Amino acid sequence: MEAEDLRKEYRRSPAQVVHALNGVTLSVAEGSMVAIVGPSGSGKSTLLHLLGCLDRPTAGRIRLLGEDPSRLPPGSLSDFRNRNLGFIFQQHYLIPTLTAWENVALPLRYARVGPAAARRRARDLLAEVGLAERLNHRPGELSGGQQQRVAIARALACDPPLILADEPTGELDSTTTGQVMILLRRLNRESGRTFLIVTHNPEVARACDRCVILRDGRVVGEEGLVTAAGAASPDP
Amino acid sequence: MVVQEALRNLLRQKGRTALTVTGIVIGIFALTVMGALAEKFNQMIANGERYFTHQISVYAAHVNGAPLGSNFFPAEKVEEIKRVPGVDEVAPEVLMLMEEETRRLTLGIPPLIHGTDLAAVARTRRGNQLVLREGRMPRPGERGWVVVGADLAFERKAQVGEVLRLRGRSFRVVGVADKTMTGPDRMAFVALEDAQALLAESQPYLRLLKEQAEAVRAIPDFWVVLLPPAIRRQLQAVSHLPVQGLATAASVGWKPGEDPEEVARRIRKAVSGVEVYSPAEMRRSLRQATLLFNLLILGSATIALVVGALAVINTMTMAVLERTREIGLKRALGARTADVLREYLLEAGLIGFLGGLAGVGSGVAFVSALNRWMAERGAVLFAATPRLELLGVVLATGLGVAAGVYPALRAARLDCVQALREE
Repeated sequence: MEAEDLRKEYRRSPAQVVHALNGVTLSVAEGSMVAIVGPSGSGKSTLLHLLGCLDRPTAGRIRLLGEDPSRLPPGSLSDFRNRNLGFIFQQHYLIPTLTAWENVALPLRYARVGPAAARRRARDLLAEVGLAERLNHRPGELSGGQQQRVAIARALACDPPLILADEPTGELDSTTTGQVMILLRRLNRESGRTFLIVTHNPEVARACDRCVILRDGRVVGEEGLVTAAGAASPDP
Repeated sequence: MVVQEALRNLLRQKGRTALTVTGIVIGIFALTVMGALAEKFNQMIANGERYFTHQISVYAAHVNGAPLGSNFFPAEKVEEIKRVPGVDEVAPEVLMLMEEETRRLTLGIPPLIHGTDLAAVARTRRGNQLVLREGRMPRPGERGWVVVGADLAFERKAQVGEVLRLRGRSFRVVGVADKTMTGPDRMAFVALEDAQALLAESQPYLRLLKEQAEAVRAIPDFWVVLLPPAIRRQLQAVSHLPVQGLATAASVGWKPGEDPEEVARRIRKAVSGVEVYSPAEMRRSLRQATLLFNLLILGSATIALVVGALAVINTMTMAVLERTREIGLKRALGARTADVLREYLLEAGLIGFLGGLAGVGSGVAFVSALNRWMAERGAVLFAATPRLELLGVVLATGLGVAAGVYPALRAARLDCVQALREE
């Protein structure tokens, strides 16, 4: 995955333009686990949205798995996301009316996988994240950690090579955070998937192979190249 | 799974969904009830059409000031009509007022006695006869029977097997006709010969002759033989009143391959002193009556559309607002615009379908109950036909889908990132 001189501007009013990203250049090797850290407003989530093809950059270029998503028509972009990208969000974003397996099978529905195959795949994935007994539970019947594990299983549903996680442990206690990170690390090592994790949590950052630090929409350093205070400064 | 999800989504806001579905139920209920009324009306008109449009009706020309039934259809006219090219069969008929004087104010046609040879009439119509609700058609040569029109049966509480008094004579009810919404509803069909006798009794001069004949027949034979031959011959001549030729109208059939309109035109041209109604003229006047009811069904359907559509638009717009983040999530997971559109249209269609099902169900239950109640009083007013039921459900579903288009488009066009940020 490569990003070159990525810029994103939001125009709040004709006179007020917010520069969320000011020329981010980043390269992520296949199979690595990279953390993106930085204070609030540094552009972490914006970068993740651009790399996740959820938004288009104002300027700059992205290459994902050998393709330039900005050249894809909107319909194909959905398919591209579905096939190649898995998302894990801070608040899990599980659909409350669907059971655990139905939530996991959601990306498979959009990949036009039949219901029986989707159910099988969802069951296997939930077993992989330790929720084999919770197939038919609704999100409201699961703990925070369990919900996040369902979200992780959902991110893996279409077997994407790249997983993008936005504060995956932001709502979890330290014990559960540890468990989730062990799980993510295992998935990274066993399957060779690439993980890009936006986080405030220094422990999460430390668990990654590499840590990219953003500030004011720019990459200001990487782990080992900047001061510890810069890498681990959480939001106020 | 998609349908299940749509159902569960509807249950998220049970109260709101129930109110929306109720809106559609009311509309479709109205549509079903009004539609069932229109369907029955159309069926009746179709019956009337079947009755009237398979013959050319020829009446004695109306004489100003003369009451109905006093315009005799001269016997020679029957022969004249028979000679018109294209005419197949001519069945003379007697049409007369049931009561000497109408005792109460009635709307439309007053009750009539219709004397006819039903077998001959059936021949002129190629088997298309009056449709009976109950009972049977009279047998050939049978006398003293009456087939009662639907409204008349209700008014006179006439039932098959019972006796009905017509102008002082007793008739056995053999059948009750189905409603036609036209003339036959207030008619008593009797044998032509019986009607001719009634007609003779109803006319002052004919009555005089009949009484005279009866008086002559009462003279003892031994008395008559003593009279001179000339007087004997005169008495013999008046002792019998030949009523066979009496008629007020004729039902005319046409030969196979002939155009009845053309035959009617020929009769009108060739035979004077008669009024001729062709099948097309009869059909035209009957169909005008169905227009009003069909407009009524259209009106109720429009109400259903407007009320239901507004409720669905409101509900689905609220649902989209409440689920903005979910829509963003689905887009992130690979849902295309068409997927989101489909999911929300399905949900809207489901509201319509459920409303339609309940609306049609309650409508059918209502008209069935009303029909049962009315049946005891001799009139069935509604016909909830399968096509009406299907129309109700399909219309409601289509309405739901159509009303869901705007909110679904809103959902499908949401910006993914902004939708994900929505709280």
